[in-house]
Amino acid sequence: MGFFVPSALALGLSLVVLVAIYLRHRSRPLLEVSSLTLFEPTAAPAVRSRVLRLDPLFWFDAACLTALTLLAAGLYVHETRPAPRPQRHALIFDLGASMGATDGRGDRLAEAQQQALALLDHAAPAQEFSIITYALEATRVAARSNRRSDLREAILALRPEAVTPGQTALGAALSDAASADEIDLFTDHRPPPRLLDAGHLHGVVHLHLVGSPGANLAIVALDPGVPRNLEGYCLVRSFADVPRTTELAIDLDRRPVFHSPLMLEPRAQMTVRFGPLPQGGVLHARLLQPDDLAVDNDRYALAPSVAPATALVVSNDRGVRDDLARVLLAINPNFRVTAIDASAAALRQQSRYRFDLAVLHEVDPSAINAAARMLIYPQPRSAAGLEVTGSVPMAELRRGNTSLGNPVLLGPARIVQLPAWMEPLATGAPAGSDTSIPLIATGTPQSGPVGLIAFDLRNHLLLNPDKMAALLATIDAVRQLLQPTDARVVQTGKPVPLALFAPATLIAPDGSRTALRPDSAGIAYFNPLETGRYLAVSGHRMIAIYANYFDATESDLEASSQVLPAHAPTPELAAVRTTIAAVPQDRLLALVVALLLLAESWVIVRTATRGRSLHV
Amino acid sequence: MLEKRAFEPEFLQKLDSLVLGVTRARTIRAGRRAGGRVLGTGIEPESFRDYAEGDDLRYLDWNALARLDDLTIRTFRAERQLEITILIDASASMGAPREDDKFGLALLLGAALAYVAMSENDPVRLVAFSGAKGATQVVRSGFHRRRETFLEFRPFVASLRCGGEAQMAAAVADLLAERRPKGMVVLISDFLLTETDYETALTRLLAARHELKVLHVMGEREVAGSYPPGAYRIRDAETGEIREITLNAASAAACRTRAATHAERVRAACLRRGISHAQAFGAGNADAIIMREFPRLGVIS
Repeated sequence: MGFFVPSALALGLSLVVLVAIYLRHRSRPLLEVSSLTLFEPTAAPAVRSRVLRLDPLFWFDAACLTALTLLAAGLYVHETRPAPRPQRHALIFDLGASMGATDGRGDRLAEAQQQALALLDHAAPAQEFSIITYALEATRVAARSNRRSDLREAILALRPEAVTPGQTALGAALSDAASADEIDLFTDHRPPPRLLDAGHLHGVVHLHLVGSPGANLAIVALDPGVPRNLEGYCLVRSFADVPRTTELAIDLDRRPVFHSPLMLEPRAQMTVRFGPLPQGGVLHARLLQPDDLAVDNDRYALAPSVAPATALVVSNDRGVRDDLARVLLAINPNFRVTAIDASAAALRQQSRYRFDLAVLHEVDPSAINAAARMLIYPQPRSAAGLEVTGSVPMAELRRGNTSLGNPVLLGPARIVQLPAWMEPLATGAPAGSDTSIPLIATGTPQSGPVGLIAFDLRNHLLLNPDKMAALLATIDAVRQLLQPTDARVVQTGKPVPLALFAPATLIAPDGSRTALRPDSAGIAYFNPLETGRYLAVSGHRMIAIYANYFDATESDLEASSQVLPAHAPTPELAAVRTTIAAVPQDRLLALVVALLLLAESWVIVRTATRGRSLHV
Repeated sequence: MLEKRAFEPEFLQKLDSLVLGVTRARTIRAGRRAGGRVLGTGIEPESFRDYAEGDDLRYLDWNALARLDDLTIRTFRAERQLEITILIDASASMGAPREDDKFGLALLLGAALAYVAMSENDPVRLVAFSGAKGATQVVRSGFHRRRETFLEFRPFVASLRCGGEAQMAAAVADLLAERRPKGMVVLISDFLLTETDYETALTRLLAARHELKVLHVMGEREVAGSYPPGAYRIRDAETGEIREITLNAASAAACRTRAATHAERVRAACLRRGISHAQAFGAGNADAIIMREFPRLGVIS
């Protein structure tokens, strides 16, 4: 609206002139008299107002000129209107493991991709789409755009990951798409309603459930046992509602060690025993008969080596030496364990040998030559570089699911400041305190694997049946130290630390390569999202990482393909979906002008009729 | 402005010889029960009469009883003081046109009448009524009897301002609600209100057995219509009503006619009711009005 256009200026000036004439007219001298009854009544109307005089003709003219001025200036009003049509569209894809289920046709993700592509094809050209995926975390793979070719390419590039999609990731994906007018969620699991009903969502959520019920078998667990000593087992579970047959094959370092057909009852779990294995190595179990979901048909495990290994246990406490030797033999019966006290003579004598593992209780003699060292209840000055900052008289172990209400009391423990290359396996707290302290940790500096058990093992702590958690944690830590440095078995979806100390290349199971750069402690991390063998290559050094995946919720293929009714946004949010538009008032003003002129004409005619005038 | 003259010695000296034209109280029989109470006694003997049962023994003529052995009651002429209320119109119309100073003339005449009335030690008060916020406002001075206290009216007179749209009938009703003894009421107004209103007021005062005298006050310019010629917007001082008018000789003549008609209506209304009436037109004629017109028209004698 502008008053500086010539027509608006002219009309505005004419309005000013009219008002000036009126004011001049009103500027007659005012004479106050005792009563109007002493004066002859005149034709001019009398008004009962001291301030405002109602002169219809003036006001009609003034209103008419005002309307004309506003009309010439282009009066408009801001009007809130409903949004014409959703313009922003978000496509959210579940990339969890079960989206790779084939259901006898294409996989579920392919079905979702086809539906999304159909949406793209039928959408108006102005509509913009963004593409968001979620599995472990939410990722925006395509920013909002209306370039169909890019969007199509991004959709077709999606691949399922061998991980379980988390609700947190779904929530993050929905939050990322919160500003969209319409959200299409492609998944094979019905998401929790609380996520879809979250108040921050701006648009309507269309839920596309893909997939049909499928029959799936999965390898739940694989235990190599102890080569030449204990047989191993493989746990196979059926998620089918009918009996299923399959074949289980187990290879050890790519040499078959077991092959057997299996028949599984509906929804049953079978334990298949094999071995004992003839030697250690990489154990690979697989189901040979294809089923609807492939990622849970393979599983890896590392069988301990059968080569004679030497272990040195150093402690001044006889009971501790005895307990540790028993635990080491339980872990690997092939161990040849030497237990000595921490006297200088004994240490000097053993310093001539190289041990595969040195378990050092309350001592850390630098003279001991070992490939791996396990420090137990270390002294403040440790040869491995651990910094002991204090001790507590009684520590509680909080490992895994050990609840705070049922802690395992361990006894005295050291407070150790872990170096960057060390990862805590179990934490605890001083009794009666909430301060968390690391109790069990392992790491791999350049000198070789180092383990830490911060609590004291005196008084046969490891053999106390009430403190089984301490024994299990200790066994886990020792096993980690004994793992071969060139092979790892990990779970998909969890960060894997690799002690590389130099830049490396990671070769994924599908052949793709990724650069790995270690941090200041020499550790490089990567997150395996596929099952199978990863290979980290750094110079002449190679580390094989075998990634396993199993999750019962993902392996149970029970979802059915359907599009559920859209979740409408809350009324408050729906009300927000409006646009503000400038609406010209030309017609209204023209109508007002016409009405005012008609009214003025009527007043003039009426006045002329009453006064019997031929003209006004 | 004009009211200041009311308290000047020269003006008061001119009033010393005047007496209010008032009908004195009637004689009553003292010593006789009248309506359950004795109305009052005087000191001037009037007559004797025979004793009758029930008469007050205090008025028994004991000398006559001793000499004539006859029971005789003495009667006296009862003298009654007359309350005089001078009711002045203080509505906005009394202040317009400003040049006429009608309100000052009204106050001057009212004060002069009060001074005259105080010559016989009658209790006199001034009452003014005006309009304020749509209601009638009545203000009263205290009663004063002796001329030595006449100057005590000065603060009251000085505090009066005219304004508002007054209703005379409502003011009279407010005055009568005091239930004072009947006396004399001098009403001073321009009567520029509805006939119904002022006739109701007059009727109410008469019905309350007051002796009523009316002074009709008008301004010189108002009566003559001698406004400066030209185009004006005239505004009613009381109602605020505005009218556009062109003043000239013809309109002046019309004004004169209307003022005369109005004055005649007021006079006729007073005559119909037997009310003493005087016209006080023009502030410049105050002395002539007091000395010549008031005695002639019976306001003073």
